[in-house]
Amino acid sequence: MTGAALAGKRFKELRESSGVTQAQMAQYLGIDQSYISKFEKNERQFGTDTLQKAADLFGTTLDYFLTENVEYNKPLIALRASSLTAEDLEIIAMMNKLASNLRSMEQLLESKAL
Amino acid sequence: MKEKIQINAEAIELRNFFAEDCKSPVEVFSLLKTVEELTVVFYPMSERISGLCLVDNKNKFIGINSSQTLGRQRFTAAHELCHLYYHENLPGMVCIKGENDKKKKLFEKEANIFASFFLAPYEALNSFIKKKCNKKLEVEDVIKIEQYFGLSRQATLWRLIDDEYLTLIKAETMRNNIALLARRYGYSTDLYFPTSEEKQYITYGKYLKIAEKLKKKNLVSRGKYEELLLDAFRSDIVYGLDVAGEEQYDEKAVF
Repeated sequence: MTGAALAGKRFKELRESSGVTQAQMAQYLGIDQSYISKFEKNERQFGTDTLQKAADLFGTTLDYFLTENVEYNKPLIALRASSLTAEDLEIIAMMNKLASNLRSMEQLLESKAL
Repeated sequence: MKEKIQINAEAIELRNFFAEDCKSPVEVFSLLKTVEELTVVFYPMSERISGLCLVDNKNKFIGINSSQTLGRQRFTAAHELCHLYYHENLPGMVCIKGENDKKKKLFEKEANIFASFFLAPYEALNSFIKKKCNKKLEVEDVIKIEQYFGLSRQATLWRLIDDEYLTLIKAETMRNNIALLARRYGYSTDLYFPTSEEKQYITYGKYLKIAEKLKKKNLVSRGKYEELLLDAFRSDIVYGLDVAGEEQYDEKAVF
């Protein structure tokens, strides 16, 4: 699978398994909803910034969207709440990002300790 | 739902875990900083969210809405502790006003009762009221109670009604002029206001310790280290601390 197709597919998987609608996602990412729909169908691509913002929300890394053999990190906070606003998603993204940073820091510590 | 008496027992159990007795007021933020695996993030959130928590393997995170009053932030901290220690298999939770999900609602309710008992255990409140308050509680007693245990007015009234120290009607009269009356009766009003702005974005705990470790062992570049700190709102470390008025060791002090 090409990088772009992989990104759209994984993005859609994460979005759906987290129960976030395309509309919520569009608001959170600050882009048009049709853009998201096209991205998921591999008709358009996201810039790295947008993709990074999505990765933050799902508590995963940018690499996960771009590289096939990068492991799946399940979202830490269950987002299944239809009432969440874009502002709420920002908070969740911030926390997931810190968790993801800490995870990487610990991995780095462990790998160098060997 | 669990019985209140059980939740009170759990709150006391957690106090014991933190080496606290079951009668004294607790400095809940200081306690959080003693948990090795915990990172605490203070961040101004929307009014609907009081806080959130998440568990990632061994790492635990608590987020506290720092735009709320200090009394509420203390309550949120204790509330999130309940999720982390007593709601197993909960990967994370965003605590939203008016939660609709049935299961989450139950967790929220339990965590609120827990927080109240953690900050003021049943017996502690009872003995404080007996020893320090008027037989029929007046507003000055309510202030005394909330100031002692570090509770918001809302949490205090809610609890006093629930434990039948106050009637709903009487409590109704105590909802206003909170800071003004506290001031007049000789108390600080910190509890009733949000923390100062420079304290609204800050991270404490494990995240910082691990970042420091990486830096000490030269496992990250300076740039990466700074990026990690800035992600955690610690520009104070990156751009230098304000050390004016910092504690100075007194060489001449006699012990």
